[in-house]
Amino acid sequence: MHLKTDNEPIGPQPEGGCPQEVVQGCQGGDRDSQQQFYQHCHLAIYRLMVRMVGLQEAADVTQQVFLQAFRKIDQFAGQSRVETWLHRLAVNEALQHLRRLSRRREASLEVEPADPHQTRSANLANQELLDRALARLEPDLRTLFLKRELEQMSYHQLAITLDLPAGTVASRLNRARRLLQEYLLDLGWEAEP
Amino acid sequence: MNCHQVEQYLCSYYDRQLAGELRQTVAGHVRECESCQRTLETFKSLSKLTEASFAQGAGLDLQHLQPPEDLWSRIEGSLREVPPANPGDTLFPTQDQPEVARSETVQPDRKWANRKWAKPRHPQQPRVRWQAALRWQGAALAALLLIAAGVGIFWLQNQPAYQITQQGQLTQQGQHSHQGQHSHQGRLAHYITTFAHDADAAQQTLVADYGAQRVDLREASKRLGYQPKIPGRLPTGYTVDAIYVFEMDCCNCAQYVCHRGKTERLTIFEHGSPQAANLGNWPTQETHCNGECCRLTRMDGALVASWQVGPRQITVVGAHDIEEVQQLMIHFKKNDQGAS
Repeated sequence: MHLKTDNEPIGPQPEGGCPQEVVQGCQGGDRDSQQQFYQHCHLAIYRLMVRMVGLQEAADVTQQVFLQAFRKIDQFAGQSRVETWLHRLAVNEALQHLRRLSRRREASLEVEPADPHQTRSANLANQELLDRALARLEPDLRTLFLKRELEQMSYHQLAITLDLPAGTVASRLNRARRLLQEYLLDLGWEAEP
Repeated sequence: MNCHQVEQYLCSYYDRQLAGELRQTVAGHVRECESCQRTLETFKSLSKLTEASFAQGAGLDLQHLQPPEDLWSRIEGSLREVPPANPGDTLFPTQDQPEVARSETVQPDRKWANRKWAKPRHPQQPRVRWQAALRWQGAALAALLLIAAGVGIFWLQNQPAYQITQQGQLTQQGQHSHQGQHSHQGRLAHYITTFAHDADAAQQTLVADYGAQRVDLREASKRLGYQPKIPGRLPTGYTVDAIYVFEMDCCNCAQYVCHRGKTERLTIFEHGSPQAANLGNWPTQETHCNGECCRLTRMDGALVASWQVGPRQITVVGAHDIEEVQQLMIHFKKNDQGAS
């Protein structure tokens, strides 16, 4: 066996995945099912949000994630684990939240541009460059990359959490990193030595 | 092992996920190979960039971190209300804000600039006389009106079989059968709400739903039966990446998948009929720019703007804000007048 295996728990999610009847209940708008779904997933989502948007805003963004999830869960077709679907939605929601903050900051600073001909990309902070590069990445690769980088999950944990064949985590991460690098360089990123 | 063989293991090696002899073999190669060392340095730079961008949780003991005890109560409380498309975003007034009469003339620098989504005007940017006749329609009222009037569906004028709610649920209206398919309105709403989060996935679903094919400009003209107005007439900084033609019952519709700057996505639909897209009961307001009427809808973070250019209806999905819509309207109008 080439890759490390481990028997670590995969984070704060209860074992066994969210029961199908809970998901179906949520799709029917049943409040008890929604609460069960929340109980099942909220720790993992909240901690991911703390990582991505900070402790101060994590609860608000987590709230938004679950509201979006309940609003959109009828679009969940059951082709992957519902936790995987929720993680993807949470990552997108956090990125969108950061993007909104960034725009507001930008707007408050953009009273008198020093040079109107200066290109926007020249002023982009690294965070915005990463945000833009991540936006170009396929959603599954984006979620995989961020979960690895932010939560330091092992490949075994990633495979279980994101419902991936164990053998494809490495190749997909490799692809995600190479594409990100390509997109970042395209945006003018200069890697720190 | 040579570079080609090692390449497939570099990511696992970097993440310390290789075990035993293989790890030793890769380590031995990397020590001698500058190319593989550079790849690992890049991985490291990406990790540093990501950590710096999302360093919020650094130093916290995440494994023992608990959310506020009242978080579920807050969520449940919000679920009892009709959730707004984007809480915190004041693109459209909430129901406790005063309604602005349709006939009211709004000075752009006051009304528009006071909203969060209105970017400050550049000093050199030409002033545009916005005669904004705003009319806030509460979601419930809009829904009732739409249902009662049976006002068209998106691009299909006579099959209002479904009504999409703000929760994204598709509910059947009336007796019309749609052969188990989502209505055009539902498909469009799904496309737009997904576009805000994942433009690629939204595009794939839309194309699959309609069986649309990517075409070049010549083929687009042939299938549409007219010369498209958009390609070649976009403002500087906008590029058309792909053109799709959708076959509707009423006519064919063109979609231009665009980007502005280097990566930001924007989609423009050009519809042969002047009838505006019906987006269900999502809050919509009408504005007037230099005499042209434009419908603005915010759906899950995506701004949708729809207005008429000559005999066509233009719908833009993904504009940043009203300023960008305004510039596009002026640009297309100017080009349309120049071309006619």
